[in-house]
Amino acid sequence: MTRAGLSARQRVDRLLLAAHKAAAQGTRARRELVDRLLHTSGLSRPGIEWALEHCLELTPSEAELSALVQGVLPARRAHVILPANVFVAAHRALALALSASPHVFVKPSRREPALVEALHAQAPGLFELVSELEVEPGDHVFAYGSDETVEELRRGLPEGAVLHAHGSGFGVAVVDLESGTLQASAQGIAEDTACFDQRGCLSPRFVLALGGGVGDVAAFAEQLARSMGHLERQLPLGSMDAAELAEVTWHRQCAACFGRVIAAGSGAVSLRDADAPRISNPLAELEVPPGGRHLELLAVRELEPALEALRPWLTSIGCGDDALVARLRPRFERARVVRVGQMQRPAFDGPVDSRGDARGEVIGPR
Amino acid sequence: MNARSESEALHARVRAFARRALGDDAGAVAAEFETLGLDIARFQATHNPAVARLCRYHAARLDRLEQVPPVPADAFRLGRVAAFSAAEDAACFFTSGTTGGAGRHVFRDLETYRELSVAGGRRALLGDAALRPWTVLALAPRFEPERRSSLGYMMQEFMRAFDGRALTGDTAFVPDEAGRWLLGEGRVDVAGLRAGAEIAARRGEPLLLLATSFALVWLLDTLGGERLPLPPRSVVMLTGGFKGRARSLDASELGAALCRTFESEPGRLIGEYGMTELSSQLYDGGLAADSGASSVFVEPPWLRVTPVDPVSLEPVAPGEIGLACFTDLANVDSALRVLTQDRVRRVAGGIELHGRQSGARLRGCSLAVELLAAPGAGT
Repeated sequence: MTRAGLSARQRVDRLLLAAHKAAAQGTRARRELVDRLLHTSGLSRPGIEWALEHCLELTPSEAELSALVQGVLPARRAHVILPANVFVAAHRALALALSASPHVFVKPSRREPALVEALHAQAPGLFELVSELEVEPGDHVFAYGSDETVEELRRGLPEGAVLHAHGSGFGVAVVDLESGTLQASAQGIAEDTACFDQRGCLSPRFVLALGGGVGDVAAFAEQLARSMGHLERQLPLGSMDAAELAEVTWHRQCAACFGRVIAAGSGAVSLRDADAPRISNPLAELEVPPGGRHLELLAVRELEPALEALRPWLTSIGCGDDALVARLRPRFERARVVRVGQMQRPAFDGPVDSRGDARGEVIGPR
Repeated sequence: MNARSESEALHARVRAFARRALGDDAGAVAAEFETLGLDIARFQATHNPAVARLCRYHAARLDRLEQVPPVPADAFRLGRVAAFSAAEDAACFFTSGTTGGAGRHVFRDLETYRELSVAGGRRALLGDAALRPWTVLALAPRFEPERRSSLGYMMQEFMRAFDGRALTGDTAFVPDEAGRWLLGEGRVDVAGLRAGAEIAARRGEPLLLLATSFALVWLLDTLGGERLPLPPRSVVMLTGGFKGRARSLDASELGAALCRTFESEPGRLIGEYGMTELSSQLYDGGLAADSGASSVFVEPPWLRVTPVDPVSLEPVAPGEIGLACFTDLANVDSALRVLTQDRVRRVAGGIELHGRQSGARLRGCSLAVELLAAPGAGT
């Protein structure tokens, strides 16, 4: 049967089968994929293996698949532009595009084409790899990248094209310092942060600590830093490019002016000093920590106002306990609200980033 | 000696240093830069909590200026960078800010800022004609203290120092006199500029026009190709870029258009580089005649720029591009050394600008967050 004769669900099933083959333990295909990712992803070998084991969605539930397929509008043709920062993202992006159309064109990231090429090899004919997109009016475009990249793309699309853009965003972890789950929370946040070396849009950048006193906040910062350091022995940091390293230096210089920068393996946890002067109160100015496993711990008196302020960027909220999940999920429907340790394992039920409109944005006249 | 009197003594030393450095004693005072800089650094490490923390983080010994850890420009946005309490704030300048909040540079006393800015501007902009009167106008909105623009303040002080008279009549200088500030109410005051040029011509003196690059483009658009000749030997000071603006021109295109419009020589279009986090400014020597060469910005004697590696923060090899790390003696009460994300190269006579550091992936998400801080979490 040609791909044109397949249903959306059948196309997604074929993709899942391809992913199984590409990532199957002990196979040559997996070894080749890992070896290739070592050169393209910037992650360490254990980091790649971890991501393939824990973050590549191979066994979604029926409910997830139904939601994914039904959440996408049918399109005559679909185009996918992939980012370089999270290699497994290609899988979900392809699933969405294949749900929309039998004619899918993928422009892989120049820096990170490994997984999409592996999937293509395992499912020849399911989609086409292209070096340049040729978008026509009415086509749907699924794009992932920075806000600047997305804006540049938007300007280049023809009138009538439908853009599904996923721009800059980040995750936030939330802990209640008076709960009894701090050790587990620290470990979970460490895992969420180490995954993809914190390059993903779901990766936590801030940890909001609710309750407790000054000493409790500092103690949790140290506990978190220890957990990150311990985990790094299992999941070493990969390589970082010059721009990423420069961001790290800049961030640490900034953070060191106003508080402690606690070493956490190769990364760091920053925490403002209790007496650090602020420009004004309660308005505090924040700088998003860079990748490479950097977190800023912020003590908050009220959780929801702090999260509301972050809402435009908020892709995921990792909660230290179930009570927080239950409290925040109804209020932040467009973020993925899960327990910490699960932030990088979102359900395979739609875009990883739910902030956008499922109908996409129809490009208007110039 | 308490912090305030220590600060005042350092300010006095900096002003004296600047006067000598601009006089005949330039060679002799160069050696003083290091000593004075280290005294300021030690003062800040004692009395400025942000600098003190940064020094502790680096275990800095402060035996040499290169050991003084630079404060990133963003720190002025993230918190207070000052060697005195908020109760002593006499002035506060805001950075323009982009997607996030604005940075703040607070001052306990503006005298050093004023004196050194005027001295540096006089030397760079007026040159040999520094002692003669100039008519000074600004293609900028009127400076109002509540707007907290360091550029506006500097322009006002240039008007006062280099002109010092009312535009019309024999009365004293009035900062907000009509016709002095030529941007406002969503328009460029072309008639005001013409009138100012005529006043200067009648007085038989050159005009100094202080302007942002964007305002000059706006002026050119408004003029629509019409010429507006300035009196002989007039100077245009250009500053700032086009960030976030709908229309931009490259420097050579803008320079050529301005020369045509003002019937001026390229060398009389002088670039200024300053930032709110600094108290000192750099100037180039005028637009190069071939307009293809990069501008070379020259530091005043009380400011040094070191291109540093963005990762190690060590000085780069000669001729290499690095991030601009400023050592500004006039920043007595804030940060002696300020690190920016502007890329620069040291060349003969000064520094070249090479744009902004790239790769700030998520920094576009700089944001202001209303956090109701927990007890003791920074109030």
